[in-house]
Amino acid sequence: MINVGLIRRALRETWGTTLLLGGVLFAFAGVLAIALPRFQRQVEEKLQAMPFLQVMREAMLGEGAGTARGAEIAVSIAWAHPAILSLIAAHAIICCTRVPAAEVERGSIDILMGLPISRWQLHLAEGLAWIGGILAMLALGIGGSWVGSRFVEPSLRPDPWTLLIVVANLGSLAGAVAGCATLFSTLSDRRGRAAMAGVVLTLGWLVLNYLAGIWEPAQSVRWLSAFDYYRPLEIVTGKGWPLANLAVLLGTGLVAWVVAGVVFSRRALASL
Amino acid sequence: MPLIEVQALTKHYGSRRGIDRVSLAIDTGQVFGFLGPNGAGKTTTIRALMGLLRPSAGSARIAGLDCWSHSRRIKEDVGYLPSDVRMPPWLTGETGLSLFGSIRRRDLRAHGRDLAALFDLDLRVPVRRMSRGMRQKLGLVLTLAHRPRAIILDEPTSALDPLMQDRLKGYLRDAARAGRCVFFSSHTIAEVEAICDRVAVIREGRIVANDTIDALKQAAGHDVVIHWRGAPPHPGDAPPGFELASIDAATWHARWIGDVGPLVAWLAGQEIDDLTIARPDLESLFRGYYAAERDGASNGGAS
Repeated sequence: MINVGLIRRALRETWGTTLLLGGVLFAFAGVLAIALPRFQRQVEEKLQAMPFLQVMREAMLGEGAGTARGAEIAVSIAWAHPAILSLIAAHAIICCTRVPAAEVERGSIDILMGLPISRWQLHLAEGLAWIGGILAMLALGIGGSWVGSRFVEPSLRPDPWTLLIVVANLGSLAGAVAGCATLFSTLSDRRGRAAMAGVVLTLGWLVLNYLAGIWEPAQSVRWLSAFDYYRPLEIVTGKGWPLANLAVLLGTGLVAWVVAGVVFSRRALASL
Repeated sequence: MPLIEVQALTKHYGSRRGIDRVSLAIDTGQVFGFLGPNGAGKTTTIRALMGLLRPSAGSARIAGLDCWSHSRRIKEDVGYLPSDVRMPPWLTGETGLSLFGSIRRRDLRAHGRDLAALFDLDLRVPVRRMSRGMRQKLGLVLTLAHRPRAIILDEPTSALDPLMQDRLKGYLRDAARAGRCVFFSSHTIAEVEAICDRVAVIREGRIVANDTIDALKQAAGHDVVIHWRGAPPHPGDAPPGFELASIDAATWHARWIGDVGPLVAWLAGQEIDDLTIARPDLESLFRGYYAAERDGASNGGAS
């Protein structure tokens, strides 16, 4: 079932994106690891002065964000920062809209499908290549955070195990985005359309999660947002592995990926 | 049993016509020409053969296996070159041979390099720096490197210079002699006539002719041009089988169906200045099929 050549091809097509976005993630995670603990006091003072920002932070990080202190809140803010979430989502959307949408649009699907491969083999290879890419991205993020934390006092450094759980939660969130982006790709012949659908869905999830934090009526549908299952603050405040959240996110990604595979295996493929 | 067999293959794109009840059979050792203008249904037929499109009706089989449900197995022994060769910009010939070999689980490098030498292709150049002709050559190298039993080429010479076209034709003839089968789609009649044993003509998604080139020419009769010395006879005096197409002063253009003996015997008793009796070339036949279509359309009916 697994075709190593197809995985090689998929990795060759995506390594540039992974390296670029992973490099930015490394740098950004490093800067946040240095800056957030150092300027936390100033940030707290500003938040006290502006209660609305406090509410926004609660919406972003979940309940208890106002009382968390030190390395806990720094890690939470860093790994729920919109820039980091955007990088992870962008990687998922860019990599997972390649096949078939980008290949059809580029016209290279004919040559690719002229090879003795099944569509499920191709689908699986693309999925595995994305998993390799996201693992590299997250490793670069952890690396950036570790390098940055060398420049702050040890008491403000995140606990490595806790950081790993946060990153696992973030990876599963990326899985949900990737599964849906793959589904949009199989439903389209244009990468731009598939990617736009992925961006709109991700932004929709994000906005719904924010709204639910500050607007009562949105709370009843908050469960529809994938970001509701990404809770870095709960993890850093000692609640351990968020198994239910991981299951929901990975399950969403897996179901979307399987549906995408079924659609891909049945649809007509023709270059534009 | 034919290596490639298409029976009543039909594909509709919603209300748009694709192909309609296309039937073909191609044996091993044969170079089969598939002729038709752009949009006639050539590429749709090929995409159904390659399992890229699911037929609305009918079947396409290669080596007895259904092209949709056994697509992966079939393509182990098929080489397919699409009409517009597009590949990732980073791909070079060397990486292509390595990657395609890895996907096919075969070492393609030795024969691939021979093919590159045949087509004068530098395997180190990435696709982003290649001209259309070079991309076409790379496509051919990657299509043929695993020595497929069935070679399916969709307008393979469109970007090649005449020298490379000749080399490709030579390679394909050798391949057919070695017992492989070549499905050669084109809208260039001369090259089909030059290398193909058999030809099918597709028009508006339907096969309008399917036979050996000689048989098609035979069925079409002879083109006859007569330059009269004096006053031409009455056309009705000509023997049965003589179809006058046009009169240009003292010159008649006509078609003769059947053995030429009676025609020559009749002409022997006439005063003629010059005479040409020739089998039509494939191009005339092809134009004939499409002229019939236009006439049908102008008469308000589809063929």
